[in-house]
Amino acid sequence: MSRAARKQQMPRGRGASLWLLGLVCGVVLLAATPSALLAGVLLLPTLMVWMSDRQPGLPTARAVLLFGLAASCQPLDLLWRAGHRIEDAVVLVTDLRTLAIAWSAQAGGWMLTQLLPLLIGFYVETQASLTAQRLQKRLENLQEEWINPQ
Amino acid sequence: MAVHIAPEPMAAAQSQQGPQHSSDHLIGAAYEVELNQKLPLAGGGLPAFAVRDHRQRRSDLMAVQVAPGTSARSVALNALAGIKIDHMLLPLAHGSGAAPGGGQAYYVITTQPQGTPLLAVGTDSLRPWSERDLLNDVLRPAAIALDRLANCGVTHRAIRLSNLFHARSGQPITLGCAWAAAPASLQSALFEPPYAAMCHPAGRGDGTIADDVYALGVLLMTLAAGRVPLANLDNEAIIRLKLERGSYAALVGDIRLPPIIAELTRGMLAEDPEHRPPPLLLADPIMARARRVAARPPQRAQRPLEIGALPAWDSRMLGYAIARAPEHGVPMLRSLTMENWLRRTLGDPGLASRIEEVVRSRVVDHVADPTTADLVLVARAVAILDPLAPLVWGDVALFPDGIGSLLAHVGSDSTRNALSEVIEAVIQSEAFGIWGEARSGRCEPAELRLDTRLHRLLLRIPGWSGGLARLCYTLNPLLACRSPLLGGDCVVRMHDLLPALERQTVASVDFIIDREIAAFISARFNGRMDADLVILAQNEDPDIDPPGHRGLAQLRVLGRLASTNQAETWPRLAALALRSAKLALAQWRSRKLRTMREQALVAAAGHGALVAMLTMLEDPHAREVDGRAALSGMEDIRAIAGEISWLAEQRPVRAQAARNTGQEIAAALGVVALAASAVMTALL
Repeated sequence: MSRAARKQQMPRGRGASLWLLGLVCGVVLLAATPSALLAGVLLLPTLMVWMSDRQPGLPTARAVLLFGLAASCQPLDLLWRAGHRIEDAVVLVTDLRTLAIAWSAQAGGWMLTQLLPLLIGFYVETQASLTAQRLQKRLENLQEEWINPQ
Repeated sequence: MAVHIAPEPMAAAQSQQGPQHSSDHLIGAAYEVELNQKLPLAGGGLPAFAVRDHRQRRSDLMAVQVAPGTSARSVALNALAGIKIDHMLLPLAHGSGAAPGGGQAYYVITTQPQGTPLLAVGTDSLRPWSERDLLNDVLRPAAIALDRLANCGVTHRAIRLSNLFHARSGQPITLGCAWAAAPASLQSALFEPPYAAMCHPAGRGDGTIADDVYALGVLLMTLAAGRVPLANLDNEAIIRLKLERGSYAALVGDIRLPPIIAELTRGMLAEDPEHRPPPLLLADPIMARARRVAARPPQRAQRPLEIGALPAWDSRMLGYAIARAPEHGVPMLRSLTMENWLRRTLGDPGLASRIEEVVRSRVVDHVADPTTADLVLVARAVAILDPLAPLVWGDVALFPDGIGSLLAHVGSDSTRNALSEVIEAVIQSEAFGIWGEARSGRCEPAELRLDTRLHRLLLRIPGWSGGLARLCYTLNPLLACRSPLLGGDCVVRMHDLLPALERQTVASVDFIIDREIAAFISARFNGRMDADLVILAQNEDPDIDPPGHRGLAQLRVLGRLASTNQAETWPRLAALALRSAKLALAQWRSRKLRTMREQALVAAAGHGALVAMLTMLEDPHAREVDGRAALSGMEDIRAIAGEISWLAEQRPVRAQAARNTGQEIAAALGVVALAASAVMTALL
């Protein structure tokens, strides 16, 4: 997809929001570099999903972000309690357990966004099919009674 | 061989009996015809058989057979029911029964005549009668009987040598049975006035009692002479001679009659029926002899006018000649040759002017068909020249009251011939009205026109319930149905029809009602079944007509016939109707109802219950309920089909909704997880 086309697909005002978000991120990056580093690494899957989500309202990215944030609360708390230094942020970022929890949580969030629609869709379609079968049976009975001449 | 025949009640008391099966009962519940005891000379020309009376054990009765294809005289039979007249064979009952050669025939039950016919057909054993015997044994009893008949509004029209019976001198004669054949249909030209003799034998009509007086006059003259006058002449020659000389002069010839007889017969043979003495006067010969009617002799021309080979000396002969040779008469009429002859040679300018007017009116009248215009011209001209003459239409002459018996004689639609086409043309062109207007006040043209229009209405009814057949059965209430489907059964009354159909129904046919039966039913039911009979006459169109349309119409007809005879069952007819009824069930919309009704129909057909079958098929309340349920059912079908279609169409919508819902739930779970994590972090 060309750049112009992708731009055209974006919702109106999203370009300005991107710029604003970039500006906020830049300010945060300069003002709180350790937190930004830790959050950036922990929320890397969210960033990737956010980049790839083409649905209006970014429902997948939103759910992944929420699960990512839920998993990032404790590392960020540790970082801030430890003095909010870049070294501590590097230690936390390189801690595989912390990284695994954060990314797993985001993976779970992504899984939920993929599985829940399927499950709900299956349930709804099953109900609709049962209704259609019941109606079809009644229709056949009525047709046999009133339409077939002999 | 003893034959039981169906009752045909003629009196009110007899008509109280319910409809009965033809072969199981006696005529009038009393009379049994014994076909092995034929009475050769008693029927006056018709076959007669002895009768066994099961009620009063009378042994002096006989049954006179109505000729096949003709009708007994219903008006006379009804008028004479319960009447007692001396010196005459009166009808006691009439009904259908087995015929001598197989099949069935119609019979009129009367007493057997006392003595022998005055002259049997084909014999010449007549003897001269004395004046006293003629007056006492012939004239008085016959005049008294004719007077009673006249009071009943009936004519005899069968006074002839072979139909008068005499036992011995001093005993009065007996007038024979005259009720089993059309009026005057068996009379020779000798015993009929010229105007009746020139008619078709079946088209002479009831006439008047004066015509019986004329025949009685001929009889007196014959008995007085001891020989049959003009015996060597054929009918045409007798009519011409009577017209040329006058009836009395033509018949008397060289016969020397006793003075009283001569004077009586001169009056009785007067050309104009109004000039003949009434029967009551004849009962007293002295008074009748004293009666003088000054009839003006017809004007006779100096030289005759030849119409073809027929010479005309006066206006009546001219009328007769035109009637007999219209191909010669019409050109002479149109060229005013006749008008000139009437004016100059006969010396009757009034008659000439009227003929001239008629010829001119042919040009003025805008009759599309020249042939019809010529026929009308002849009819008018003959009626003007001889006001006594019958209607002449082509080569057929008839009186209005003879049209029914003439139709019965020629057959109906299924046996069309030239004569039936003439009758149809007479009715379609209102010829009797034209004839009546030209007769100078001798009849009521308005009544004739009204009757003709009623007849024409019957002719114009479409389908099997109209046409000549319907008219024929309407005008002949005692005419047996001529349908070949009845297999020789003599069906005269409606209640005899269904048993006959039941007997003749075979499994291989689907329809048992043909054109003749339909016309018969229509006439007897006075058109109340015409709608169904019209359907029966049509070919079924599968694109328009519902299945079993004709079959249902036939079942309706049979059902209504059966409803008049509830006590009987008709298994064969019911089996025949069942096939059509099953087809007609398709009109019922509900399969469940159809199945139930079909089972009920089969059961009813098994019991031969035609009325029950008809009721099942034509239950209006149930049909209405079925129709309403069908409408409701169709609406349900449409609604459910729409719902199923909607469910299929909504599949992407449901998928999208499921996706959105799943994602919202995932987001909600994320929010819950975030909140829980934040709380736990804050607490720890």
